[in-house]
Amino acid sequence: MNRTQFFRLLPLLLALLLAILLASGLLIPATRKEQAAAPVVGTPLPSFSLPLLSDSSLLFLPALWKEQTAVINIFASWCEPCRVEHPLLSQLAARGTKIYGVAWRDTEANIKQYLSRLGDPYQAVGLDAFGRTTLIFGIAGVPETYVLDAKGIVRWKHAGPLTPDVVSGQLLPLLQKLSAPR
Amino acid sequence: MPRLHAIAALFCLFILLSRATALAADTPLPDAGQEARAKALFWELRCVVCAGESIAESTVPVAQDIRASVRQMVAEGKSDEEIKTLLVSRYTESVLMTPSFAPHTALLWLGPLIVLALGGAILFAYFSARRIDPE
Repeated sequence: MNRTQFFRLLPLLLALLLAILLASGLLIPATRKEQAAAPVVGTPLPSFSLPLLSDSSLLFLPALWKEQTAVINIFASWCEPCRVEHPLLSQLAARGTKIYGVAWRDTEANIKQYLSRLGDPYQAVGLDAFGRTTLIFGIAGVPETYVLDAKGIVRWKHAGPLTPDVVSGQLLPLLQKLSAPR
Repeated sequence: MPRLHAIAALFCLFILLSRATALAADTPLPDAGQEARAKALFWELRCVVCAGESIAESTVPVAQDIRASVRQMVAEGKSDEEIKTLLVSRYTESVLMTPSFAPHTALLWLGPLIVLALGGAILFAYFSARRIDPE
């Protein structure tokens, strides 16, 4: 192959290289990308307080779920994808998983109406009317779901509505692992 | 024509008003110096759900929450670095409008220069090859 031929092939080679680079980016598993985008995983959740939905004088603290594994679900009555994942939360609650809700940027009246209509899968719901927990969790939108271990360390984060695949493939195995006696 | 002008004017007014109400939800800090520092920080922090917008420009709820948190941290006397570190610990380094220059971001910063040099080298080699061995 002489030099002119080489230069003729060069654009093709470069395009091929670019294609390989882009394809390798596409083939990275979505779960790995998701975990990489959630630096909160592996760190202890700072303590915070929110008015409880059931009794606005009480506070909603991580201390409430300390010493046990807990699922925290960030949701809102105005959020359509939250309605989609709601039946899954109800199923989880029915099989004994403790789920705590954070009503994000919502009002007490709307949340109460939402839960009376769709059912209440939550152990307790903290009302975050002004998005004060946004920076505590690193919320980018609703719904989001977190798993806290008994030490209060965030072990898992899922952004967007839960799906049966995510629940059976990731959430349930993790909860099983965390609740197993050590 | 005048009707078109009127529509354009109304449209501009609408944009201005919607912008104003979006900003009204943010309460500035009472201390002018602290407020100026917070505002400067807003321009350095990327809105996590928008494309290429800083939280200074964005009107989405998340950006509003982060502005409030940044203001609070400024009022508590936290340094710019501390505030940025906290945001990175929640939203990754992509939250910074200007990424730091570190080993893992070297390719990001130097990539364009490398590509330019490579392209230049190829062009140079191509034209010198043509001069030497014309078909």
